[in-house]
Amino acid sequence: MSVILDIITAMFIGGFLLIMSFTASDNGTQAFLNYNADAITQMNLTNVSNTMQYDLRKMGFEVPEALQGNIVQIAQPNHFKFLAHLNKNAQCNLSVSGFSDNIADTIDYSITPFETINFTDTSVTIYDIRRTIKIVNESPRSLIIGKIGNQDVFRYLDQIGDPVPIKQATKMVEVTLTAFDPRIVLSPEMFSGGTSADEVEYRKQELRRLLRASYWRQTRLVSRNLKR
Amino acid sequence: MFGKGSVLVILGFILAFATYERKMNRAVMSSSDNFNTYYSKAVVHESAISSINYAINQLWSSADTSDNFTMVANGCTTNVSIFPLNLDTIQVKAKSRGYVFEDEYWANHNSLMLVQDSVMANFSYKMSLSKYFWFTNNENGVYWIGGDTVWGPIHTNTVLNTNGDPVFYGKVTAFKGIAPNPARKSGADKNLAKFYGGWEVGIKNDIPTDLSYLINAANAANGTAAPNTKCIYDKETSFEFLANGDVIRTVDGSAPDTVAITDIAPTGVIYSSMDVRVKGVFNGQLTIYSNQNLWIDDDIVYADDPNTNPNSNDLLGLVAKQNVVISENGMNNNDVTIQSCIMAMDGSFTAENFSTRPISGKIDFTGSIVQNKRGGVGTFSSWSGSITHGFNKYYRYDKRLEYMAPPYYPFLRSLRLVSWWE
Repeated sequence: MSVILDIITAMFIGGFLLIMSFTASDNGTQAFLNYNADAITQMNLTNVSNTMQYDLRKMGFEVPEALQGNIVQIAQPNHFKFLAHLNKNAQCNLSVSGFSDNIADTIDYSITPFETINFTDTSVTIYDIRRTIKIVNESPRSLIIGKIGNQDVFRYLDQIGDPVPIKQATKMVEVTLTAFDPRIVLSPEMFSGGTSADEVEYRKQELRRLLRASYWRQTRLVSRNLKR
Repeated sequence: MFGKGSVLVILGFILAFATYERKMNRAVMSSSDNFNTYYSKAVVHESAISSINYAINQLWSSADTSDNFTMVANGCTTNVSIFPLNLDTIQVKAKSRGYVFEDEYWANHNSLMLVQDSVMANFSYKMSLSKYFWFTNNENGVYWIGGDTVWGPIHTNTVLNTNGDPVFYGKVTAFKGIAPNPARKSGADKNLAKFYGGWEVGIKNDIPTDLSYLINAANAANGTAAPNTKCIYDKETSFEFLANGDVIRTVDGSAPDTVAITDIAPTGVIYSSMDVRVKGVFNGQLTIYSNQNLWIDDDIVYADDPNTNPNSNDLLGLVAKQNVVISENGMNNNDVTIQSCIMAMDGSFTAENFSTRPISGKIDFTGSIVQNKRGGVGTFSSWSGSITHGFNKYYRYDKRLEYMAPPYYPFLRSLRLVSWWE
């Protein structure tokens, strides 16, 4: 009888421990995914920012005097195109083939919608950042370098930081990148799509949290080639 | 039996939780690693920028065009080199390196990760004065006012005064400041001017006073020819240019002759120790330097108008030691069109008797004006704002001057950024 009691007690305790371990495993996995997603999002944002800084610092490099007024070719909040000589010589050559010439090239950044997640009463849009490098006499190289949460990325400023009325007056470019916190975007409650007042209210609160908790990076890049 | 089992179960739990904890720590660490790496890259980059700024300052102050040194700051080591690319162009390079702890890199290499960055800049010592649309040693207290629209770079060694909302499309530089302060965009003393090309103060550029190289170029081309026959003149001379590239030349009132510009000025320079008078339709490239005054007797325009053909290669430089003057005569009393690069080294670009001559229409000018002291070309009623004597101004910058200049045209010898790579 006591052996049976021992076995039942052991099963009970063992089962309890098993449930505990499953719960711990589940929580641990969720936490790990969240932290990992955080890290990946943050790293992606940093990489996008690094790439853009790398390019924008070359704005106007070795552009002939006659084209100085046309260095900034397109200056829109979601589209920025500028001149830079990317294959002037061996030291400053982004050409794949290593070909050098004396003609200014272009770098183009455009922000286009990638996906819209509809939360019934509101929606969140994710945007692609497309970078296109066009070196004269080479095929354009176009690549999506990242996904962000804002469409208006570029602001064009004069030397004291005021927005410029014409693109030729641009002396620095402000780049703003945001990425939504993945742990909130992944929140399963957000996708339930319920229409009760409580669910709508919950969703609004979540979205506010989402926007508040978004990663955000803003950089003002000054091109010395524009200021000379 | 039961005790051993318990120990094994507890050890199993410890192992499982430790594994999870480690993974979570790695995830958290990678976030901070990411931040640290970005910060370190920024520090290395800024170290390179600081070092190149130091090198530029050294280049500026000592004019030493060749040097190599190492700078250590912010945990970064930067190798800096300054060397001439050619007679007028200097290259400055800074390569900076630092080390950062990066979790994954440490796991694979058991060492810190090397972060490098470099910055390179090219500078030029020589810049043609014709690149400026407007350059004065002394603005003479004159204001740029609302309604003035200026293309091309402007410089003055005094204060540049603005009133109202003039528009400057080129860069504006002024040694003694811009009034009112262009950074002030509100308040009673705000500056309403539009500086679309940017502005900078505290920059001094002296008008060159040694133009011997111009005279040397004329002397070299003149060879053994007698004065007043080729490109050296010691008598007052008039040049009436013709659209075919010839010029009707009148020396000291003697009978005029017609000669090709390329024949009398093979190097593109004519020098006179006396006054020179010009007019006509100019075809070619030439700089005339008078050691006295240079008079514009009638319209002087390019055969190929750069306002309609930006690829025109006609370029005329009119350089006077004293003044460049729009003569008061019948031809100039009803508008005058001037297309050239004008420089008055010690004097002004002005109109003869500008405060007493009749209302003379407008000066339709295309080119570049460099003068010691801003000269007058007319007077206006302070009550109505309309002209009472002399000319209205209609000045345009010749866009070709951003990259072209008349032969041997005077230039500034000061350090100027040509390109910046980072």
